[in-house]
Amino acid sequence: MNRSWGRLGKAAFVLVALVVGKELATSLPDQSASLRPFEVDGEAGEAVELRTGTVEVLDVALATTVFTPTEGYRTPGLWVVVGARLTPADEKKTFTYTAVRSAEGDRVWEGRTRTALGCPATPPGVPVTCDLTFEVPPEALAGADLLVSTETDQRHDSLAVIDLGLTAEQVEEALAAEETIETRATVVGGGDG
Amino acid sequence: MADAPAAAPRPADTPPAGGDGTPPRRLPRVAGEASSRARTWVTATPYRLPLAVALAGLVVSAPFGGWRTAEPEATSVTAAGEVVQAPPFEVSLERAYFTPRPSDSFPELDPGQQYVVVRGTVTSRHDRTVPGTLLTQAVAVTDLPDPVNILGAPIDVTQARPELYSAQDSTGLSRIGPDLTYEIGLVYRTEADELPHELTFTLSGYTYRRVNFSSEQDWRDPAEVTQVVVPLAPQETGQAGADDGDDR
Repeated sequence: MNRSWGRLGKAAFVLVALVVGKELATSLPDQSASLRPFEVDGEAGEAVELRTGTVEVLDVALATTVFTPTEGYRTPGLWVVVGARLTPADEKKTFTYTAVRSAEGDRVWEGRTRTALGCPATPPGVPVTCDLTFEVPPEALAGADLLVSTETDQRHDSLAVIDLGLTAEQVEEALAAEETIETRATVVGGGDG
Repeated sequence: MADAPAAAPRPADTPPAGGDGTPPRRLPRVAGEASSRARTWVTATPYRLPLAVALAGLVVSAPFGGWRTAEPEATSVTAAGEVVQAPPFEVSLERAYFTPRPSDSFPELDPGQQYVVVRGTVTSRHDRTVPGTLLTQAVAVTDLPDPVNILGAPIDVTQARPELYSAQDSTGLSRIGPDLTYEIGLVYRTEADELPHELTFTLSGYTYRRVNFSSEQDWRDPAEVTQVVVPLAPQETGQAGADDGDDR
């Protein structure tokens, strides 16, 4: 009987250890905070250095409709079309993760909401210039930032945070004008795009 | 000191009689013995205690149903066009129509097959962009006859998953950003000769929780929220397909 009680004691010890372990795991700092990317701030028109390359925003435009060579896209919000250039550092890279983040930082709109909106990867040192497109509610655009990474998983990696310089007046004008934009052709290599 | 006369021993199985001639009190003694034996049995080995607790739990739960299968709760029914909270989405399904080809954006189907387009709206209230497949998995048609997949092969209605289109421009919608209300078309395909006058859909909502395997948070655990019955009719002449104004 003593042996049996000993076994029960061991089982209870394992259970207690599991409970304590779970409590520790949940009470320690959240992984979303401890693994968050290293944000590299920048502004439109200046080069922002990432671990894997250099990003530069060339221009920003707002529109209600975007035309690509094959399709036309409307949006219930506003299209943000960002002309951006990426120069990979050591490996073949592209704009893998792109998003617009609200000025408050509490909402994120990723790109590629429609099919066939992409940008090719280029070898180290060869820049690629693309139009990145985002659908965003107009009320969230003033003061919004562009987020750029060459990695699918940005944890513990660098993330470009570039101020798009958008104002409430620009947003109102774009809504009133109902402008359309035709995206530029992707440029691989030198040039201003 | 003189010894007092010893009382005659009483047989062990003779219950004590009441002094006033009342019947012996057998019941408390029997209960006490049963309790004592039960305690001895339960504590004889450590494994009997949880077994005893489980058995007691079964006995106690028996009046409330025990292990009988619980009756599923009836799913509520929402009127067509009404906005339904199906986290992370707010969804409305308004009407449906069938047509051999909604617009030039859609490929021609095999003879005898046609499209069924369900019109409605969707808004995501998550704080970042979610995949459109989260919506197409949350909307399940229950009574579309003879559905076929994108390759034209017959499938069971439980396997019928719609393609998601933005109705504004009739282009595929692969992701849904926060706080944007899209007019949508959910597109099915069928080879049925005759279609009903209405279709029934079950809408499910998800829970945003930590995924144990990856420790990341995601929308999981779909749970039925409501059913929506939408009218189904042929596509009207001049009515654009999944789009209401393709100006390309």
